[in-house]
Amino acid sequence: MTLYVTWGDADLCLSNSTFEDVTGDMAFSTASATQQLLLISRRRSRADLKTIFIRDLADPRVSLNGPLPVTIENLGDQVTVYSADTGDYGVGADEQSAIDEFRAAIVDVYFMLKDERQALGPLPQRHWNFLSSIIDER
Amino acid sequence: LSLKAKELDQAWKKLGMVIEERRDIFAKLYEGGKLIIMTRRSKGSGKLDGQIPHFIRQQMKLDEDQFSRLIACPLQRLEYLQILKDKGLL
Repeated sequence: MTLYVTWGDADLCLSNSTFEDVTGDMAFSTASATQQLLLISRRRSRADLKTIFIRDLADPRVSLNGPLPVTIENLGDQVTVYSADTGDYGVGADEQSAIDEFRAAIVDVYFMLKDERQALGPLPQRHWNFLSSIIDER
Repeated sequence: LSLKAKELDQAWKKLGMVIEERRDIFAKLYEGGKLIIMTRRSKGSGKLDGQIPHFIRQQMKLDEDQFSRLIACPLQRLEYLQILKDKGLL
């Protein structure tokens, strides 16, 4: 059995084994659903979310002039890479493919915004300001 | 939320977004000659599942209800522009 639950901003997918495991950890059977979900949410945060620093965009045209922090989330069958600084993301079947997609997306977005930098609204302008401050063209 | 690529493409078209194919498919919203919103999806016509709809919704600056209404059709370009204006993005 699989249970899908929305917890805050997180969409949780609870498998039977995960639920039983957590229930066992709590050592008592009267725990409320809220307590159980909180425990699962915290466990997931520790196990499946991590921050790494991207240092290279793997594109001969550009380089990063400093590390770019991104959050990696492992959802089991999908790994996502997300930059809170830019709102850009990458998705893949594993961590490396997600990072590769993220890098390619950043480069695509950089050149697209560069092409249109004379006519950007507030949000793309902030996006461009940030990307142009961390990316150098070779 | 699981989303079909075709549903998303129809929503972008309804909003008058300009589609540009690069490594991925980009959708860009212009107003008053300026680029206002840009988002993207991977190529292919399959399902967009996991976190992908969430990321696209965030890039489009819509809350969950607004995004659901966009996909279901009621949310049109004028309302979307008003949402963006209210957020200071126009």
